Amino acid sequence: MSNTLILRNIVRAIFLLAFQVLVLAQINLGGKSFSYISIFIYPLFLLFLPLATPIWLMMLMGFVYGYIIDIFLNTLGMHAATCVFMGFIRSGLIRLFEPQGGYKDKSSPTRRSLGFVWFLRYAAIFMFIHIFFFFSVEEFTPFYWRKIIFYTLPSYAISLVLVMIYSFLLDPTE
Amino acid sequence: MNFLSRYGNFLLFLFLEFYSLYMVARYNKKQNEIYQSSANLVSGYIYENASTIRNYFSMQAVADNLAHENAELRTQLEASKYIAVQERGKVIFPLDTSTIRRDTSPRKDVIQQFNYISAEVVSNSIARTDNYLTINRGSNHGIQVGMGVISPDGIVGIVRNVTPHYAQVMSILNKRSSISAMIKRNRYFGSLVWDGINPSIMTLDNVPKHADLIRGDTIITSGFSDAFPGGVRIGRIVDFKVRNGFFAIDVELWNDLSNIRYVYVVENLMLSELSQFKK
Repeated sequence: MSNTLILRNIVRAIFLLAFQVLVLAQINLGGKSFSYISIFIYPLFLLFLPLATPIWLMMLMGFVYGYIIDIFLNTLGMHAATCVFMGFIRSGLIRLFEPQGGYKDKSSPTRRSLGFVWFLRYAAIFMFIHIFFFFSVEEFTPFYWRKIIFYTLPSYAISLVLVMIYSFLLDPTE
Repeated sequence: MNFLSRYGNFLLFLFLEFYSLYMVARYNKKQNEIYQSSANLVSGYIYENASTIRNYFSMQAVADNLAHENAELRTQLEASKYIAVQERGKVIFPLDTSTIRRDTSPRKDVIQQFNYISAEVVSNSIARTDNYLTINRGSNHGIQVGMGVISPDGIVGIVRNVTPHYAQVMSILNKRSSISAMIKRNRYFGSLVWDGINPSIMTLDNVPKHADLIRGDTIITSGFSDAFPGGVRIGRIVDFKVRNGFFAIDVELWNDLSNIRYVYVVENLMLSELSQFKK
């Protein structure tokens, strides 16, 4: 893993954290009656981590990263639990979407390196699991799964649009 | 090392995940409330089941108490009383007020005739042609040979042998058993016997041929024997035919003698008086 790769990921982590906490967390899209609607951009840090990142490292980084976000958003443990879970299952997702002939590039799974359609599918699944898991933890009881899906869908739609905009605007290569 | 490389990730995942969820439940008000209420739900569920199990073990004592209470309630039934003074035979002496009070006082009119002793069946058979039951009450509890035994749904038999703690009961499902019974609707009576074949069907013999019978009619004890009070339900008519100039009526029993557990032994308090005629 090259130094620039590490540096890029650190910069991305800080940028996404700041954007999430300082901008997105301040926006109240749903107003009073739909206050549960929130936009998620920070999962991109985990989503863009290099393909070769070992699972244990993904989970540890996810835990620390989610924990920092929890501190800012006053949701101690919720984002951490979600990020640990995403770190645990991401390698499985990557294997699921493996193109024929395998991944040529072992660096980050970006739109540029793997194509728009691949990236859209990957991001769509990743973001859905992330947001669904988060609302499950937030609801803290599995009995209300209808309610959890109902909460997930609007946040998911907006977040996915933002993720795709991000992948075009900033066009990360690594 | 092999174990770590195989399960290490999963263990780390479990550790981090549970630690995160612990923090969620510990430091967030809403989730903490949910956690506590579901913890209460779980512990409540466990407590409830534990008490069900405890109840199961105390069931024996409860059932004994209930059987005893039922026996006491049965003694208070009108069928267990001897009505000493009849309404229309009441005589009023205008001059002697003390006599009037004494004669019309309801407590003096009614005399207890039957007492009931609750008992549990400890052994039973229905498979032979001469069936006996053993109950866990004996002479220590006031049980004597010749007493009738009934169950909540019908009659069971008559006491044949008594030991201090147990009594042997000749089942009505015994070829030597013969119980005086009658048709509730028209009071034609006969003797109830068993042919040794079907443990839920008995035969009411020696019913006069001119009696009108309807299938489904209720058969009750006649009260003519010393062993049973009158009016105890036995069964209902399912079929009848003429035999030796009398009706032989097939009676389907209300009670199932194959799974009987609690019974009441009937004590006739006027037995000594009644038995004087038989000498």
